[in-house]
Amino acid sequence: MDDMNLLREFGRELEHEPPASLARQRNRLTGKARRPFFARPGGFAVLGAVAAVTAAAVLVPTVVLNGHAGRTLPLPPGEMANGDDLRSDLNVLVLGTDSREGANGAYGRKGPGERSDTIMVAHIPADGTKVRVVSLPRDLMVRLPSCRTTAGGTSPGHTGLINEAYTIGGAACSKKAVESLTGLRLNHVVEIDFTGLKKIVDAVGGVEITLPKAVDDRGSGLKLPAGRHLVRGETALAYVRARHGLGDGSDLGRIERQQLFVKSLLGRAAKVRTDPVKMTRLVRAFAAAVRSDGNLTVQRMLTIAASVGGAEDAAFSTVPWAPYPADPSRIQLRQPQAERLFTSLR
Amino acid sequence: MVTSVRVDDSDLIGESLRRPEAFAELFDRYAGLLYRYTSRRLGGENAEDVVGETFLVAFARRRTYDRSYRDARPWLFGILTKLISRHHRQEAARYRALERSGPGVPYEESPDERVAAGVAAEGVRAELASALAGLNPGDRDVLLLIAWGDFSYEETAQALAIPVGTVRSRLNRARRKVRASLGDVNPLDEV
Repeated sequence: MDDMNLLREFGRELEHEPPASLARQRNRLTGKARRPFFARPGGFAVLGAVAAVTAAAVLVPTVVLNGHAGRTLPLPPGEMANGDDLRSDLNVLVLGTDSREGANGAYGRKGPGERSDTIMVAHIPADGTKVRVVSLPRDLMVRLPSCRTTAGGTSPGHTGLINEAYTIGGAACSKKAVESLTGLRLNHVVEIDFTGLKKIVDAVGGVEITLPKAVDDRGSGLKLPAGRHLVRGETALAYVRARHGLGDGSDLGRIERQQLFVKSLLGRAAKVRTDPVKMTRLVRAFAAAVRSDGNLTVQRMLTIAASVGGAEDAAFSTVPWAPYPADPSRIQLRQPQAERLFTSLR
Repeated sequence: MVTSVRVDDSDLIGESLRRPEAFAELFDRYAGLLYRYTSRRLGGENAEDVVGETFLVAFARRRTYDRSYRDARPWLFGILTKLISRHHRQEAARYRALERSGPGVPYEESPDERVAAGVAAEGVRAELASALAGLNPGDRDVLLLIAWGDFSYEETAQALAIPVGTVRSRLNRARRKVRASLGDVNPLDEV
């Protein structure tokens, strides 16, 4: 007798009939379907009280969202939540992308070739100490792992720019690339695009920026005199995206600007926190603005929020880097400093 | 069997975006199927929770479902397989326990079914159990989706989000091991 047939028979022997109690699982589902998180009274109060306001721009998206209101990233099913409480430190990959889908089409060419322009790892310690955010410049040359492509094929491992990973295989490939680069296990992935960022900035009523000199950048459409500005909507986006007319025109200058921007955003979010109406609006905006992996259940995000409750501030840095010898317009990790940093996040 | 016009799974999922309750219909269609499969791998006690969780995860991800696939079973079994893999040690321990119980010793409650279905496999239960316990989890997922889930190679590839070529190579490897463990008991011709 054929091995497959033997195996099938063996399987039938092991099988149990579904018990009547299986219907309880259906109630779990319909209960969830009928009672979305945002409709539940008290949901916000809990979140508002425990969420670390300081880390809002990075953490609130992490903490707030799941498929119920935001969209869910098509990560492979293997990336599901494993823990129910924050027993160990958490690393969250935050991707800022220039996805051209939907409303984002207005911000550039359509079609394939999405990139992750901003790549950050947020480290959330289980003991409630300071949250750390490390940026990985997109010009960083790394060894890219083999990835499943968005088209369904497989891309072989090769040396390339870190933001290429996203173009190859979306958030799942970025996650794999950053994990293999840093040796960190990334527990969650949160993705935000231009449209989403704009919504968040508008929800906090704009973000304050300081320009050392007047800017007129045709690439991003940013045109502002020197000085302090409260920017929102398109102007805020242009500020974050601009490479020219600000600083030295490099991606590193842009990272610094983005980090300042996030800090400013955090400050605005902190003010909003005490106002339940505005907080509600902000949380909703976050929910609609980012995509996260399916692991972030409501329970999970509340757990995370609770654990960062004591954090006063988030520390931002850029991974230690050095010029890439073969191409001076690119950079590579500076060792052993980079490895030391990653070790401290493990 | 007489059936009324059946709505495609993909349309149900689409409708659930607007009307979340529609998703419960998917549960009614497939919960039993998922339960039976899971009970084979993890036993009856764990299966219930795992099936419930599968539908919760599926519900949370329904927006990302590719609605060009009318049949949602591969998608659901893909999620299910990942959830089962959290219990892979338990699963292997279960097979090992079956292996120890040896031929002819009753190890499950439903003797009637065993008599009806399990005559041919009876003599080689321990060997099959031992082979399943020894497979690496990825190979076992492929083998059992095909042997116990009755999925095609393409559907298995879709469920596990791996290329069809990988399905073939994993299946071949798994079957070689199963045959090797059967070898001294029930010599088989090469397929």
